[in-house]
Amino acid sequence: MVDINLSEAEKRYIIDGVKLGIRADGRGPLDYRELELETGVLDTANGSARVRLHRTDILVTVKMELEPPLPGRPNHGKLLFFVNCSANAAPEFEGRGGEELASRLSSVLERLYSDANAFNTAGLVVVPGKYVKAFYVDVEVLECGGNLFDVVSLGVKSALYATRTPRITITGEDGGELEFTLSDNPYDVDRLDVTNAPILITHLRISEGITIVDPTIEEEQCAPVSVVVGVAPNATICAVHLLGPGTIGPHTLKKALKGSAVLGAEIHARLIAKLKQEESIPDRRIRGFLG
Amino acid sequence: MEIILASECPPQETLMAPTASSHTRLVTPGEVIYEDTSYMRGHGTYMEDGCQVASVAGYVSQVNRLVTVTPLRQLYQGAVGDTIVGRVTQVGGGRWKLDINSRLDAELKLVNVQLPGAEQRRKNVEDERGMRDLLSEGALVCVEVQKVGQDGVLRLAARTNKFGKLGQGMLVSMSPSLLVRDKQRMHDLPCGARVVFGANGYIFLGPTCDQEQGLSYTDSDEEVGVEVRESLARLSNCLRALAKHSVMISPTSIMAAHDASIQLNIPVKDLLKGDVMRDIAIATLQDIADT
Amino acid sequence: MELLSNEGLRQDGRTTTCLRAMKCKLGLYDRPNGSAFMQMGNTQVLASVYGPKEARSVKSTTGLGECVVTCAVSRVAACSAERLRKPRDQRTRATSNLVAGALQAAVRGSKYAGSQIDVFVQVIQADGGVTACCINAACLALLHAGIEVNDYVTACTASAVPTAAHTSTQTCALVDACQSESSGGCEVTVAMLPNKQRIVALHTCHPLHQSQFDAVLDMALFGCQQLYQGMHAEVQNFLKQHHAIMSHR
Repeated sequence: MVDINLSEAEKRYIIDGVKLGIRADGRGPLDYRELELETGVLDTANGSARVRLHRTDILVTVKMELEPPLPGRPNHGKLLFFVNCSANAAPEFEGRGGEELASRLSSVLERLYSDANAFNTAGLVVVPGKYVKAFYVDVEVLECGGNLFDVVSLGVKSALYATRTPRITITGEDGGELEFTLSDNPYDVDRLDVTNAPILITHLRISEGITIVDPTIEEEQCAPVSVVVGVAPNATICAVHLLGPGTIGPHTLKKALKGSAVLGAEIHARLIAKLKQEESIPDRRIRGFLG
Repeated sequence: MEIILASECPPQETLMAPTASSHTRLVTPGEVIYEDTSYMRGHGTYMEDGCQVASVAGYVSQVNRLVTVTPLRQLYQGAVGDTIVGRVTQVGGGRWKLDINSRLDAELKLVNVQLPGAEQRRKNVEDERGMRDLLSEGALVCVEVQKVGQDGVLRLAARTNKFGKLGQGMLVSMSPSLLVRDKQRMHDLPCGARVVFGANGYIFLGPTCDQEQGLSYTDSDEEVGVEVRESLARLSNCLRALAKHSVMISPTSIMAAHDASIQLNIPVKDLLKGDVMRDIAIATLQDIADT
Repeated sequence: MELLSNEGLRQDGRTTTCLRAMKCKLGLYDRPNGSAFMQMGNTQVLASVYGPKEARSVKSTTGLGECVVTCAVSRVAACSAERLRKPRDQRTRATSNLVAGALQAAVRGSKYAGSQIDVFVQVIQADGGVTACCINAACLALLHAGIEVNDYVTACTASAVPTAAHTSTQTCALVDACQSESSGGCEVTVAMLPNKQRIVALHTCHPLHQSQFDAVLDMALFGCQQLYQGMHAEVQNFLKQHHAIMSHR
């Protein structure tokens, strides 16, 4: 991630604090900070969301394209993830500097959504075997201030929730080539089903038996290993990734998983409630980056 | 986790201080300040065709015939005699390189450091080999600006036991123009915190040392108590709130913010929320205006 | 489709001298030294400035006692109608160089000898005039960072399109062209120091007849001045919001 250098004494202060149950900014081990959310920020995408958590800022866009299906899956659409760490977030990301983090993030997202229970791609078809809908999810990291994985997963879910694609009808055939029409009625749209879309919860292992969620960038410097847990809305765990070069005891891991399930279900419920609330605002003014 | 919608946040409007000075002159680059060559040009201005022109966006301040423009955000310019906080970036060659929030890294020579127990002798090769044991990369130090070099590099010194390595605690950084100028830079606040207001905008918060022995170069093993941690967390969150709303930082304003947050019964972790930060900034301004 | 109607109105209802709605904001992020957002019509750009800081790239050490301004432009994949597969390519590199050049002309480099200023620009939405918008956003980010500059740098595009009279030799200059206008006509980007009346960058990649050039250039310069008014107002607004409290010592 982003490198900042902390002195041994500062690390000691942070670690001791976590052990005593009070973190450097006064939070407890399982406290999240306030998350700011807005969907529909880009006109050029089918769906988009901007999520900010303290000093982390993520822009997620979803764009639909018609493509031939994958071999052997004629009736399945595609969901593809691409992450780009913008140099705006940190000068270290310039050129190819952000690629390692970006590919790690996109592979975690890809696996998280690969299961049919998480996101069902069946039915996202226009002409079976010929044309399926491919959804390109592009994540742009605009500011990187800790807890990137959680924020990205929430952004992806929000953007997919807000995705609207115009209804496609086949109007005719011209010499073997099919003709499509896209409906231009703003209410005649297709949406994606994200009821089971999972989110990620990162536990940073501070010491054996003690993990914290929503770490700040300083806290991330104090511990080498974190557990990224994918949680579905029904509080089931659907993915676990161990990141970083450290070790973690099985007891600590189990505790973290247990905590994630409860926390995850709660966050899911809140996220959906907020997304529904935003949707219900009549003539919502998009704030975008001017807010 | 609390999720808020961007459309729910009130737009960031002016926090008008009760006695906002209307006579402050604000200028932006390219604007002529005086059509008169008798003024001396300070930082943020340049002369062209007999006019003094602003080169940054900020407010004009004038001391006798010296005219300077101070921007809201800037890097540390450096002035001899300032007490500042720096972070070691490189060790070697008989000197440390320090990040001091300036356009160039500053230099702290081994000969300009008073070593504990070695006040009376010349530094030798042994001392040079052991430099990393004294201060390694990432270490925070409190030093004094000794001189500004021809090349713009600041030369630092730590010749008394007032200066030296900073122990457990945390660093909050902000623009140096937000700090009230003050000869006394180290303050023991009544809530059990020692705050070093580095003139370069790096503010260090740590527990008070009960003895009059000053700073040393060894890390103390003592664990910081929960109560002190809570006040430190409260102070640092208040500092961030004030800086976010561009309220001038001084021991008075930070204590006012601290006391206001206690009076309003705000738990430490709630001070991370946008609306609470705003309330604290307003309460602080009110408090300063009253006294 | 006609780019200019018989009444002299453009497709989006503007007159030839009317700029698109311009909005901007200073200060979005904490970590960079300066940041700004600029919107011209549907074109949206985000800029961050890091530095001046100790120069680290090899090239910059050869500078003549001046600081080096570097720039990197990248685009969000969904910034235009077609999804982009790469955030950076040859075109963004060309834009980067242009932006860096324009900024270098404005920054008081001798003040920052031996340092380097990195400007990163992110195109959020692209609808014509992207280069101009990048320069404007980068200029605001420099101001937010408190970096000493001689003047603002403002940039605007102009285009020459056939008039509705259908005579191919008759063209009319348009200010601040959007995507459809610049692809139907041409796009000339001009950056200038508005208080000094100096041009610091000029770029076009379309053929333009010499007889049309004067009108197009004048139109672009007019646009630059208009943008300067808007950006100046926003910077002043930003200062007023923050300095009311700051000066309270």
